[in-house]
Amino acid sequence: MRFLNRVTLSTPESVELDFTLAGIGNRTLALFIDYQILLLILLAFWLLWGLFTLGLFSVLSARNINYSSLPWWLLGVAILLNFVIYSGYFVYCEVMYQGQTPGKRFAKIRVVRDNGRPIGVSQALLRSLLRPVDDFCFIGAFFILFGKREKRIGDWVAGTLVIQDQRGDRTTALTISPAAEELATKLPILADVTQLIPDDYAVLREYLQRRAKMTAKARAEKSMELARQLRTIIGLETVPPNTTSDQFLEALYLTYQQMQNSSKDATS
Amino acid sequence: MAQSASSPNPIQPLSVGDVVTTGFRLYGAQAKPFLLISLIATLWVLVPFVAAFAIALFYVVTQDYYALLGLVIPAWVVLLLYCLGKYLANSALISRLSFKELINQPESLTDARRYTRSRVWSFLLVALVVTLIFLGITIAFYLAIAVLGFGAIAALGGFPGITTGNTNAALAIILVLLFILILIAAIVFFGWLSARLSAVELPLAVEPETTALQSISRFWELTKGNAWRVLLILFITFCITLPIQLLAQFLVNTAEVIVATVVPQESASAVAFQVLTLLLIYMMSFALGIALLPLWQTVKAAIYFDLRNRREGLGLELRDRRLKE
Repeated sequence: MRFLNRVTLSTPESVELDFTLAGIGNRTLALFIDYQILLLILLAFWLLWGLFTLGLFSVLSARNINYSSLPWWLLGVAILLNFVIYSGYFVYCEVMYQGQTPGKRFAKIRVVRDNGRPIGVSQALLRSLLRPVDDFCFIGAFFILFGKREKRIGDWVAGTLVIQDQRGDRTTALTISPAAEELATKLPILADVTQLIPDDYAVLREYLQRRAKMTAKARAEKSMELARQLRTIIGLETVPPNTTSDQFLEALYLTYQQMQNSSKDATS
Repeated sequence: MAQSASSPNPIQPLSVGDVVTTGFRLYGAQAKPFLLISLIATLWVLVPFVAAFAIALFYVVTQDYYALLGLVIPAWVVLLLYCLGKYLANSALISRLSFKELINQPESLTDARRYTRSRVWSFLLVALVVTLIFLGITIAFYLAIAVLGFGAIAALGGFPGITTGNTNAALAIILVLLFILILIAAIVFFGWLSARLSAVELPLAVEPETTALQSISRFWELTKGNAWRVLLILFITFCITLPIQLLAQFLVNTAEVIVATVVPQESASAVAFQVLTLLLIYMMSFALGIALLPLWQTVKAAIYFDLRNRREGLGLELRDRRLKE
């Protein structure tokens, strides 16, 4: 998407890597989810701490021990632990799961160092310690919105970037009709399938994957349009009778895949 | 071929976060014209209020011509509707420009304005129909709640039973739980409905030969199966505007403190103080409205663009390489 900021990083091995930056939307989404999880964890913590305190007090009063200064100590320790949990959540997740907290995993983004390498404890710690400034004073949002590299203060200090997780090829199984499978065996003889370029194949696969969620009218039109264009590209003169456009597209998809596989076998 | 493999894939649908980011980026890319359009739109909304003020002033001063009111009031209502239509058309203009940018066919401001200007009454009709839908459902909902409420009271032995505490406790608890359940269901339902009607004016703003009613049903069709995505997009956008709103609030508070220290707190200037702060708050909320309107319109354009991609395969085109060669 050309509207998302991109960045080119050169690794210490002087390899150029191209990344799409996470963007304000994904980062807010991730933060929102993380804060919901944190809220639950902290709620559980305070509940347990409260129970522990009450238990301790009853034990102490049973033994007639004076504990008048204890509540303040317990509160102090609790606040400290609260802070440790808050910071620790982000540090632990970002270090252990290659820069991904649960929220970031959901939003498909991750934190990396400025050189594209995975972040370490020190970077995660710096990011986490500056998080209160960025999140609660809402300064981070402005930095992300107006900065070219979308860095909040924590990112500047720690030398990190938040990027989109490179989407791998989704390997969802497509439903292919038997008629298409049969047609796929004939297509290489009937037409020149080698005319198909990877871009055509990508569009074809995208259509087949998404057609179930398209409106009936748009799907019918898109199917006809793609079938007509692809037919011209591969120079297929006569489509076998009783073939729907969807079946033709499925068959072409299969044929191309088989062609790729056989060429891979040949080179290896 | 090598170059096409490394370029980002533009045919895939956008994620929730990417739709929001796209909205922000669209705004950022054309901040100046969009803010100007937003200012014009907001000024149109002010016109009926200024007119009402002028009319009131006229009658206060003259204490006469009351017979004319039968003419003045309908005229004012028409003016109000027209100005609302102008506001909506200008808002839609931002969405139209953004959408054209998204499909890589940018349109000039003059052309886009000519298009939306000719549909002022249609935009108004869309807004009125949506308002009526919400109003109707809200009234039906409250009626249902009222009926259920009376039913519950009757089940608990009527008012005497409740006031004397002579009721079935288990039944009371079940009814309270039921009420909470209905409340949650209602919130979920209204969220879902708002998402499905969130950008109903977009088809009208973008697609030629679409009428107001067709626009609504088209957007309804596009959002089928996508309501929760759209709602999440709107929610995330709202979350990001929070810092801006807080900043505005902070500025107003600071200004109030300054006014309070500058204007002496005597009885005579107390009125001046009140007027000044009120004016400040109004101006700030107008400024905020002007700043945020383009954002919502660009996000709506991104939502509509993404829905067209998901539901209709917009952008799912074969590259026309044979023409280039």
